[in-house]
Amino acid sequence: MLNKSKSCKNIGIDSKFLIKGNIRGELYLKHNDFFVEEIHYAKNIKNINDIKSNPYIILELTKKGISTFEAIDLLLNKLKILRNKISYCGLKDTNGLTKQWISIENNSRVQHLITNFNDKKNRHKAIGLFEN
Amino acid sequence: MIKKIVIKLLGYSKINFIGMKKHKGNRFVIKVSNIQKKDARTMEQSLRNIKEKMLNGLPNYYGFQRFGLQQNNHIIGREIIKGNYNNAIKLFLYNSKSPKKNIINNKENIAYKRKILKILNQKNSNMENALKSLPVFNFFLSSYQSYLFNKAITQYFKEFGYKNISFPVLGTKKIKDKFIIKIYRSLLSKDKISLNQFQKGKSSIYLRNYSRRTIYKSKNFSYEINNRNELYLKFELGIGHYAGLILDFIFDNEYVKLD
Repeated sequence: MLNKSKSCKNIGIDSKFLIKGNIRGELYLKHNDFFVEEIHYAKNIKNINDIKSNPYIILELTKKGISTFEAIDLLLNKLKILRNKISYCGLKDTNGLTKQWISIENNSRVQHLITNFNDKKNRHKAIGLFEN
Repeated sequence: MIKKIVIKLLGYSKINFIGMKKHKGNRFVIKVSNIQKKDARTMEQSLRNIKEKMLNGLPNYYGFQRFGLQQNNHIIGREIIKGNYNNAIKLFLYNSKSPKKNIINNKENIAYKRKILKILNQKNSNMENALKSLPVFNFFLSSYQSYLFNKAITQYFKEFGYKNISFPVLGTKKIKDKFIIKIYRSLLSKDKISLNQFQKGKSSIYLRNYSRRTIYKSKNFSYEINNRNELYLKFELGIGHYAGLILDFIFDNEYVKLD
């Protein structure tokens, strides 16, 4: 059994101030059991449009059971772009199903790859699929 | 090999509004299986208490993730500030009180350890250079700052009540509030570090100055238990807050974690 108050004390937390839920159960049995997605500001959402000549492509990245670093590396490899051409808001949990927004500097080659990805026939060639 | 990522095109933008901490927060949906019910009333009461606490505010502690796999990043940071590079390296290389599978198999961790040993084998190298060569060097220092923050807000709550204020994280800048500086000075003295040593230490050491609220609130917390004995927790947290610390306290057993 994990000694929570001892683990907390080690990092300067007084467990008296935290929740005592006293619930017993099993978490993280499957990656789908832990889901997290980003919430974005309305003013930022308004910036997204269909104008293909805009300098940034906005994507939603869904990953399962891998870290954000690893997922970004996979994308970089597939799209053959440099790390500094991609932006994201932070790291999401490895153990879980997570959704986050990313932006990539727009160019016709990357745009083509991504459009192909959204075409169901080609999507497995472009990026990959979830394992069931 | 099938990789576990999928991307969806949302559209295009004139400006890049995506970047570190540029989003509002995160929405969580957590499924808990095989709930062990003591009785329905106790369960309901527990969930109501959790909901109240989540909506009214929890201490804005830095959670376990901030302190590394071995939960000793702050101790390494403390030794760096004291100039005990020898100790810091020993703690980084060897101290693992409860070695877990993920620590041993963590490739990044092994690579860092190899890097240190390689540098130490070079001529004219020293412990300080070896440590500074690590990309995680600043994490050790910020972990110690986070540890001090956790201790300081606990002390603040005890002395001044459970109040939500903007509380400085101790960096190189002087703190104006006399009570807060007193708390930090006393915490540092327990670690045998003077405030002066901490704030005006080696110029090569970077300690970020910033403030953090003492309490944070979760939004839209809700729960649901279905007839398959599964509990669903739904809630939203602002940026910089992790669900892990909350889950650790909602559950009184060590829940199953995936490798």
